Amino acid sequence: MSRKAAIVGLGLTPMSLRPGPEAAQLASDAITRALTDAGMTRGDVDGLMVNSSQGIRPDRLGVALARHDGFGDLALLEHIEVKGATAAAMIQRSVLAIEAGLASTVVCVFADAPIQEGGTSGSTFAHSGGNAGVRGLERASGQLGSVPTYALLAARYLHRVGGSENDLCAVAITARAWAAGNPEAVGGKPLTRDDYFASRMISTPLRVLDCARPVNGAGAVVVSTIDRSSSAQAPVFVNGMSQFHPMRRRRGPGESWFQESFFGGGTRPAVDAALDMAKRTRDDLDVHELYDPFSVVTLCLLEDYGIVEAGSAGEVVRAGETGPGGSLPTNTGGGQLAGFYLQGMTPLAEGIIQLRGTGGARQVPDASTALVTGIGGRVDHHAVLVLDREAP
Amino acid sequence: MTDCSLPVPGLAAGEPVVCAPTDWLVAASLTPITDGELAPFYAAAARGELVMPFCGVCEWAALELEQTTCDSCGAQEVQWRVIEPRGIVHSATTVHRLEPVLVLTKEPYQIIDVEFASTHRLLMTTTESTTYPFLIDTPVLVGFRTIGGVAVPAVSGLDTSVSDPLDDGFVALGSSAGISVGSTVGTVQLLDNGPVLNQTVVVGVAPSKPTSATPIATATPVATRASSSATPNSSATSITATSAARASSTAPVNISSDDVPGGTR
Repeated sequence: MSRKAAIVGLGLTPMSLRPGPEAAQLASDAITRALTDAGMTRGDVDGLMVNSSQGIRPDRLGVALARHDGFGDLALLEHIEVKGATAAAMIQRSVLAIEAGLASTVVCVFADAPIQEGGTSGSTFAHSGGNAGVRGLERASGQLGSVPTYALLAARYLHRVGGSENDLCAVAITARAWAAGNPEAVGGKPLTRDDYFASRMISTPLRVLDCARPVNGAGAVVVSTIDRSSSAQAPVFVNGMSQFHPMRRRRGPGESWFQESFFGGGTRPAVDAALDMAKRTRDDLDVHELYDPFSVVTLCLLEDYGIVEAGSAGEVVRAGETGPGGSLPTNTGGGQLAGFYLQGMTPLAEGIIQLRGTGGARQVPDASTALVTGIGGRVDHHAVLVLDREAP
Repeated sequence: MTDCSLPVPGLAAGEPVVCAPTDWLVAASLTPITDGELAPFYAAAARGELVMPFCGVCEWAALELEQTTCDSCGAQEVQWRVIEPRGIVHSATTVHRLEPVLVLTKEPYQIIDVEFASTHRLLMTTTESTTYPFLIDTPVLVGFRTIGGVAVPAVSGLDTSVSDPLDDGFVALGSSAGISVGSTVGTVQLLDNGPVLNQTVVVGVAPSKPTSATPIATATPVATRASSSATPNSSATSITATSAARASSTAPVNISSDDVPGGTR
């Protein structure tokens, strides 16, 4: 395959904690910013990938965005839905499409506006989901939004590994330490243990500081052939990719939210596959940008992806290894927890920023290889990217 | 608090009902849609029975609630079967965030993932408001609550019947067979230092019909606040979870109050 694709543009809107523009308007803004970053216009684009927010909401983005947002004829237009794994999956699909000759320049966009007049983002998520099927049954049981679901996961995880709230606290503090260096972060205030334990309990064992910071905002990424990359920004290569969708059942004796082999790294083979494709190993990873809607997920994924030994994530984080100056820099912009919750766009954007070397105060020196992952559902869908400053 | 004079939609007169037309937890706007793939589940719940899906060919293979094809044999034959309404806690959380409008209670509430002997798992709350934090591996009983006239499963109390029969201090629930309508067949207590759910298990039957219908045991919760002196043996914060041990083939575990997920009681 002679055509080589790379990420050549990134656009992020300001991250707002106030009711603001609708998702479509935010998406439009992010697309403009990403194309400007790439030195392009909408006329250069022949592909659009749309990632809408999860949940049943009237303001969901769809393929109509292309028409409303002034694009011309497109060779590729898709609304992709793999839940939180979508952003990484969009990049995979764009790279494959470009390298196969289906399109030349593809914009991938995610936007969300959960903060609305008269209500919190938590209320927006709590009110979405509908009354049908299993979700309807669960909602009738008081399971509103995603916090109780992940609280059940957290309680189970801590039970299985013998962990404690101290592990969750360490993740929350580390995320704030990274976010302090990220001007886009909305949760950038340094955090103490006392702050953490004094924070409001949402659903045991998860406190408000264990939960992502939803924002009204958007992110867009331009994927194009390498010859279209602007001289202003170094291209970021997608050298490895994989997906993994464990079909575990919510029944005994297996675990509901983890692989049978989770406590030995159930998703390790998927990360292995992406690394093999990139001709890299875990030791080559300079930054780890993981999907972290809740503190416990960082712990789970560090183990599940085989980055740390099973059951050791709490200890590793408490030792500062995943924080600034540590040996395993993880969620270097503060992640979804302390940076901003743009679902899969959060880790993707941060991976690109780190490899461009534009991370400012939170820049990891000489970062050249990044692991970017997205998870969807109840840790049911994984999309993995290995990004690199160098082509393979 | 319980008004059995109200008709339950979809239920013929005389059929056993679970009486609690007004839910304590959520607004009627969250009433589940009962048709579709879960129709047999809700129809059984309205009768006071807990049914779960199995493969009709494998027979032994437990399916998930919306699963249409057996992952063991590929058959597309879902068979809903009554299962024993008791299980163990796979995980649990106490929800402190009370969503305005949707959540009616003013107290934190419980969400419990219950695993049944059939291996099925089901998320549910409790039949009545309680701040009791359920611990993983604890044996529990499952009853029903109704929301907008729709019955849904809910944990009704600790299942003390699975303790070693030689142990004292626990009341085993009797079988519903041969029990007359209106009789009390047993009690289940959630023992805690805080509010206590005292579940009186009675036999209910729908109004305006002779007693020809087969009665079933339904849990009619009676909320009481018991002082520690009223429950002198409330050392029940340490329970030998022998049923969990049997179910999971692991060694018996002692559950103490320190094991509460999140450590908040």
